[in-house]
Amino acid sequence: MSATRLVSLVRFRNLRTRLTVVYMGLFGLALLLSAIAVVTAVTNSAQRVVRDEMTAAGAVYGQLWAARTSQLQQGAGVLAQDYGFREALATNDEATVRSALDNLRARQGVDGALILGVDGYATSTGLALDDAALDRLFAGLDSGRIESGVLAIDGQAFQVVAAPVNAPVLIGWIVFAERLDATQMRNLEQLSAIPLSAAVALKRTSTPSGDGPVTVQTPDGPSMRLDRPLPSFDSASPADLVLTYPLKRAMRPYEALFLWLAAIGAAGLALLMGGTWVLSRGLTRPISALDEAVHRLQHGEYVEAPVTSADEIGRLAASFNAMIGDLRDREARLTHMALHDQETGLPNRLSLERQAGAQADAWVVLFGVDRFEVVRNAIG
Amino acid sequence: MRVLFALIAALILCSPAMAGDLTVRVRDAAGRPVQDAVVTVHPAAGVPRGPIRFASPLRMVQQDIQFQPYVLVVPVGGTVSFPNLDRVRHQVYSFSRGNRFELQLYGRDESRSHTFTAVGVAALGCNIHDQMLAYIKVVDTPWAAKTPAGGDVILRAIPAGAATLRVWHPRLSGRGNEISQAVTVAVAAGQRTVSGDFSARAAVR
Repeated sequence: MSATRLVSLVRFRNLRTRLTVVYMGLFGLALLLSAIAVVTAVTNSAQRVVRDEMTAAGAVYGQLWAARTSQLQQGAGVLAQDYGFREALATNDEATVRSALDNLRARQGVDGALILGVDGYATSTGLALDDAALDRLFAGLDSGRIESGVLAIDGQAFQVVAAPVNAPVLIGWIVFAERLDATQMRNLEQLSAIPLSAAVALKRTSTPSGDGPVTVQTPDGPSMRLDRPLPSFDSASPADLVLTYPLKRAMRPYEALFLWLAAIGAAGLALLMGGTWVLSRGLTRPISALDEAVHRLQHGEYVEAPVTSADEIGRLAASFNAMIGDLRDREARLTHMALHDQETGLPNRLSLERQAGAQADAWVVLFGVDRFEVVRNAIG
Repeated sequence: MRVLFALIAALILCSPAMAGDLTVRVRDAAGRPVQDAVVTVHPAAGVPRGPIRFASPLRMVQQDIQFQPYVLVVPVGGTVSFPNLDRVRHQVYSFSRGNRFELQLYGRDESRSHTFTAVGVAALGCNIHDQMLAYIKVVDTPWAAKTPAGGDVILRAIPAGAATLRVWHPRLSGRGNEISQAVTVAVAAGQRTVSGDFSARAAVR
C-alpha cells in the first residue's frame, strides 16, 4: 500500500494536520531506512571483526599446540634416547624409571608422565590413568596413527605427547600428559584481542563447521563459534577446540552509537513536526480567513478577506475581494431599482410603503396624476 | 670341509639309526619368500649333548654404520666377535633378557667379542647410531639355519622321527615372533612350507 493511498484513506479535517502527518511519515520512513542501513552495516562489520579475530585465535592456538607438543616431544625424546634410562627400562628397573620420569616431569612442568610398554605394561607418575584411557592410548600408539593429541582421562581432556623408546627395538613409549584445563584456556583467551571463551570439547556437539566460524544459538543469545579439530587418540570421538563469542558482546561498543542515532532521529522528528506545524500555519491561515469570509458572505455579510501574500492564495483573496465589491455594487443597484421610479428617479410606492411601515405616527398623503399614461407618452 | 666335519660330528654324537634332510620354505602371507627367518628343528628324541658348532663363523661386523648380517644364528655358548670396519667408533649393546651385554666404544679394526649363554634372542643396537639394528638368535640345536633371499633352507641329517619345527623372524606375528609346528622327519628328503604374517613388530626385550 503506497503512502499516498494510506494518507488518502485517513480523512483529515485539517490541512495542517494532514501536512504534518504526511511529512512526519515520509521523514520517519527515510529515517527508519537509514537506521536499518546503519545497523546492518555496523552488525556486519562487527561480525566480520569477530570472525577474523576468531580465525586468528584459532591459528594462534594451533601454533601454541604445535609448539607445546614439540617441546614435550623433545623432552620425552631426550629421555627416551638416554642410554641409562633405556637400560633401566629394558631391565625392568622400575624405581629408576619412575625417578627419571619424576625428574623430567618437574623439568618440563607437565602434570603427568608415564611409561607404556609394547607389552601393555604401564607405570605412571603424577597422574592415574584408568584402563579405558590406557587402552585408547595404547591403541593409538600401537597403530602408529598418532603420537600426540587429545586423550580423555576420566572425562577430562589432556594434551598427550609420546616418544618411542627403542632399545634397540621398540619397547615402549614415554608419554607426557598435560591437563587442558581452565587455566590453559584462560591463557589462550588472554592472547586474543577479543574476550572470547575457549574450551576443548571431547565430543562433537554438532557437525563440524568446516573452515570458518558459524553463528549458533547459545544460552547467551546468538554467538559466533569456531570448531578447530585437534588430533585425538580416540578416533570415535574427535576433539575440538571450541571458541565462542556472544554477538551481544561484539555489539556492545556500538551501543552508544545506536543510542546517539536514535536520539538524533527523535530530535529530527520533533524538529520536523514543529517546523511543519509552523509552516503549515502560515500556509493555512489565509485559507482559513478566506473560508471564514465565504461563510460570512453566505450570511449576506460583505467582509473582505485579508491579502497577506502575493502567491496563489493571495491572488485568490484579491479576486474574492473584487468579487465581494462587484456583488455589493450589484445588490445596491438592484435595491435602488426596486425602490425608485425608473423615469423620475423618485422613490416609488414600494419605497413609500416601506418608509410608512417603518414609522407608526406618520400621515401619508396620496395624490395621483390622472391620465399619467397620456402625459408620459406625450412627454416621452 | 668344516661343514662336513660338523655334520659328521653331529651324526656321530647323536648316532641316529637313520636321518633325513628337511627343506623348509618360509613364505609370507602373499606367498613371497622370506629372508632372515631362523628355522630350527628339535627332534623329539632330544638334541645331542655337548657344544654345538656351526660351519659359518660367528661374526657380527659393523660396516657403513650398519650391522652385518641382520640376523645371526649362534649356538648357545657360542662366542661372537664384533669387528668394527667403520671409521667411526661404535658402542654395541643389548638389553635382551639373559644376553645383556655392552661393548664400550671401540674403533676401527678393533674387535670385541661376547659369549651368548642364554637361549633366545638378543636385539643388538649401537648407543650412538640409532639406525643400527641386528638380531642374534641363540639356539640350542645343531639343526638351525636362517633363510637366504630365496626363502628356502635345507636342514641336513635330522634324526628320523617326530620333531618340532620352529620359525623365528623379527617381524613374524606370533608369541615371541615365533611359530612352531610338529613335523615327522623321514629318511627321504622332506619338504615343509611355513607361511606367516611378517608385518608384526619385533617383541624383544
